[in-house]
Order: sequence, then C-alpha cells, then structure tokens
Amino acid sequence: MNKRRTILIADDDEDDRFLVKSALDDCQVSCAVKYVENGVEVMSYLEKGDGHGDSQHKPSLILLDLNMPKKDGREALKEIKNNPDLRSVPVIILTTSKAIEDINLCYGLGANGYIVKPNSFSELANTLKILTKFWLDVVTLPPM
Amino acid sequence: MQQTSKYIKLSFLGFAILLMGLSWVSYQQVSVNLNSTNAVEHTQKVLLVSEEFISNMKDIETGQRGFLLTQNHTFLEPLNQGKVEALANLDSLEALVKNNAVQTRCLVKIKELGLSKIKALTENISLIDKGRAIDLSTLEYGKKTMDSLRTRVVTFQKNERDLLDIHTNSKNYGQSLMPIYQVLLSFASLVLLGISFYLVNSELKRRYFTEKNLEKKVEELNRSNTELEQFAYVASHDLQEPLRKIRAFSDKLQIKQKDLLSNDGRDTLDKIASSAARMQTLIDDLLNFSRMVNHKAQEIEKISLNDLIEDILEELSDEIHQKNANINIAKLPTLMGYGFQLKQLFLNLINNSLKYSLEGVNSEISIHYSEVKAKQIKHISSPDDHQLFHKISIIDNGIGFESQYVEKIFVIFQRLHNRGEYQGNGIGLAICKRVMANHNGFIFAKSKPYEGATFEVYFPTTTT
Repeated sequence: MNKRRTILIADDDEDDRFLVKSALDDCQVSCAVKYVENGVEVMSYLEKGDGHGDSQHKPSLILLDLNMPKKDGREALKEIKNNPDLRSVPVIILTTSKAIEDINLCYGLGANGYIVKPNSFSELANTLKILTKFWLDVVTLPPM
Repeated sequence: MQQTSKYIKLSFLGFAILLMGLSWVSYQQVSVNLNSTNAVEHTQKVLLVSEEFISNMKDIETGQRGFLLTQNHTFLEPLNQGKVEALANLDSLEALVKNNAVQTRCLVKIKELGLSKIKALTENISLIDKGRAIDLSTLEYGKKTMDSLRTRVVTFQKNERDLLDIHTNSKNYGQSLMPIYQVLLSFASLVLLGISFYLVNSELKRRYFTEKNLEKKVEELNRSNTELEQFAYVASHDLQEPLRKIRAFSDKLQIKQKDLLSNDGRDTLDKIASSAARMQTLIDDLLNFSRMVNHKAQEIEKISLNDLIEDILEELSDEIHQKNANINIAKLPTLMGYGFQLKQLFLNLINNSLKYSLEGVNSEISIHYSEVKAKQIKHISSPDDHQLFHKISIIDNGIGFESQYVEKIFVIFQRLHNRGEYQGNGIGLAICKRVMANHNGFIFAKSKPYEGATFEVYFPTTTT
C-alpha cells in the first residue's frame, strides 16, 4: 500500500474530468490521478509516462471514455488488451453510451468493466469509491 | 386516368369492329367472285352440253336420212351412238339445271320432244327394215319435232345466257361498291389506330413521368425520414450530455456546499435537479422512440400474438392483480413482424387499459380478433379494397376519453391528464402508432368518457 499508485483518466470533456477528480477526492483514494484527453495520449502515456520522470507509468487503473477525438476509447482499449505488457492493467469504460453494441464490443475487447456515467454527483462518487477499492486493493489481474 | 383508359378501350373496340367489317367485306368480295366464276362455268357447261345435245340430234337425223335413202345399216351406227349420247347429255342437263325451275320445265319439254323424235325415228327405221313403206306424214312430224326442239333449245340457251347476264350485272354492281367500302373501312381503321396509339402513348408518357416523380418523392421522403430519425437520435443523445452535467454539478453543489447554502438556495437547487431529472426522462423516451423508429436494424420474425401477450401479462401480473383485472383473449393469429416492437405495442395498450381503469370497478379487458377487408376499415384508403387485414381490438371498461382526442392521443408527448393524476410521458401511443406504421398497419381508437376505450390495430395478412 506504500507504493504510489496512479489512476489514468482518459476523457475529452473537461467538466467530466473535473467531476471525476472531485469524486475521487471525496473518496480519499490514496493515489495520483493523471489525465489524458484522447486515445493517442493514452497510448503515449502508457509508453512514455507523462514526461515528468514518472518511472511508474503503468497505471493501476484506467478509466476510459469511449467517444474521444483522434483515437477513440474502443481503439485504445483494443491496443491495450492486445499488448502483453499492458494487458494486466484493469480498464474500466466510463461513458455516456448505453448502446448494447458498445457494451458487447468493449467486453469483447477485454474491458474489465463498463459503467454508464451516473447522473448525480453522489452516485458518481459512490461508484468510483467502490471501483477504486475493488480494483486497487482487492483484485489483481493475471499478467498474461 | 380512368377516363383515358375508357377511351383507349373504346378506340380499340372500334378498331376491332372495323377490322371485322373489313374482313367481312373482303370475304364477301371473294365469295361474290367465286360465285360469278361458278355461274359463268355453269352457263358455259349448260351451253356446251345443250349444243352437244343438238348436235347428237342432228347426228341421229343425218343417220336416219342416210338409212332411209340407202337402207345401208352402216348409217345406223352414228344414229345409235347419237341416241346414247343424246340421252346422256339430257341427263347431264337435268342435273345442271335442277335448281332452276324455269329451265327444268323448259328441259322437260325438250326431253319430251327429243324422246318422241327418237321414238318416231326408231319406228320409221323398223318399218323400213321390215320392208314396209313409211308414211310421209311421219317424216313431216319428225321435221316439225326437230324444228321445235331447236327452238326450245335456243330458248333454253337464251334463258341461261340471260341468267348469266343478270348474275354478272349484280356482281359488277356489288363489286363496284366493295372497293369504296374497303377504302372507307381501312381509312377509319387507320384513324382509330392512330387515335389509340396517341391515347396509349400519352398515357404511357404520363405514367412514366408520374412514376419518375414518385420515385423522386420516395427517395426524398426516405432521405428526409432518415435525416429526421438521425436528428432525433443525435439531438436527444447530445442533449443528454449537458443535462447530465447540470444534474451532476447541481448535485455536487448540494452535497459539497450543504452548509453554506440557505434554505432558499437548497430549494432552488432541488427544483433545478427535479426539472433536470424530468428532462432526462423525456430525452430517454425520445431516444427510445427514435430507436423504435429505426426498425431497419431489427429482424422480421414469426410472432405468435397469443404467446406474446401471455408474456406481457406475466410481466404485468402485479398491476393486473392490483386492479383485479379480468382479461379475455381470443385466438390470435401468428404474423411476421418485429418481435420487440410488437411487444411494446401490446404492452403499451394493455398497460394503458390497466392504468386508465375506473376507480372502484374491476378492470375488464378483452382482446378480439377478426379478419377484415381493406374496404371495411373506415379511415383508410387502400389501392386494393380486397386486401385482407388481421383486426385486433383491445377493449376496456376504463375511464375512456373524449372522442375529439382520438387522433391527438397518438402524437408524441401529448397527454390528456395531469402528471399528478396519471403517470406517463405521452409516448406510449406514439410508439404504438409508429410500430403499426413499421408493420404497414394501422391503429385507431374510439372512446367516450367513462365508457371505456377501444383500440383497433390492423396488420396486413401478407408478410410485412
């Protein structure tokens, strides 16, 4: 638990990033929160870190939005789950899309969870609290 | 259009009649020609045979004279030959004129004379043969007979020629008119053919243009429909984003600034939150509706309506129990359709019947089925009056509604009651209407306040 952990939030919407950040603050999760705005930035972060000498650039959890510019969440998810080095990083889809096609596609690609962005702040805070607790403290994914 | 098709039919009918007339005239001409040829042939034959007959009689006469003078039997040979031929020719003549009473009578006389001439002559010869003398008067009688025979035959021949003349004259008269008839009829046929062609051609052109126009319209309609459907989807989808944030931020404000907010501030925030929540449901409904509308993504399958309704009643079992509802379902057909949509349709209709029930009265819902023809459906105009439809009626004993609202209730977001009285967003019947349109069917309602409501849905019996 002493190890400094990172949650990577990929969302092109500034308000949503702010809401998630506030919610995570409320949960008092002891980890760093990093932001990227599209799929390209997700991949480059996972390869090189954030460019501030963060050696531990493999995040403990990725919260991935689906609809983003340049490279969307679906493509990023596919690349992450096809990469043996990154496969063990849990990826939770956090999106507004309720489309059954998206849900099927994401689980098919290997997403570890699919959450439709809650409408209320308290719900979002609760959801993130449970999520982070589960994925950061409870389970570990097999490396392969 | 019907007028034109009537004209086309008429002109073709006229054309056919004229063609028949033309054929008849031609036939008449040919048969007249044939008749006159036959008549000429007949006359020629009669003349020839009668001529031969006279010549036979002459042979007989000559033979007799020779014998009388020389008493040489060799003269009797042409006489006997002539006798045989004369009789044969008389027979042929008889056969030839048997249809002509005047000539037959004339021929009878000729035959009589001929036979008596031959008889007298045979007697003379036998007298000579016996060595007896013959009375001169018999010879005179023979000459007289021969003369009158000739006169008769000449009359006979003249009669025949006259007949031919009459025939030829009438034939010539008839034939002189025939070409005029033919030309007139041909001309009239040509004119009618021209008119028919013009009518058919202009009708074809008109239809071609109408068809092109229709195709264009259908294309435009499809495009604008698709655009509208996309618009509804995209609009409601994109509307959700800011709305979700309004809800999230006002929620955050309420939670985080709880201590700083006054009561009034909290109330205001509550109002914002509930309005936003209400808007959220509207947008969700709109999204559902536009998904429902986009039926191309769904598969047509065979649906047993009885099974479908059984599933629905299972789902609604709580409400049914609560309303103490009694539901009667007739034997319903199996049809081809979008299962999900049909379920929504009947779910909404039955749910409405349960929801708008009269207080204090047990809910009675019956579902009837019959097969009807298009012309029996009041509010539609179908190109084919005899197209069959499955008619399914859902009849309840609920609160009903004013009959003036029978159409308004199917419009999206239209409600007849306050939200406080009955829950709902005014989307159920709009979905029903859309589902029926997707199945090429119809839905109609009729009702009076407090006398229950009847909803009728019509599915074409052919696969949709």
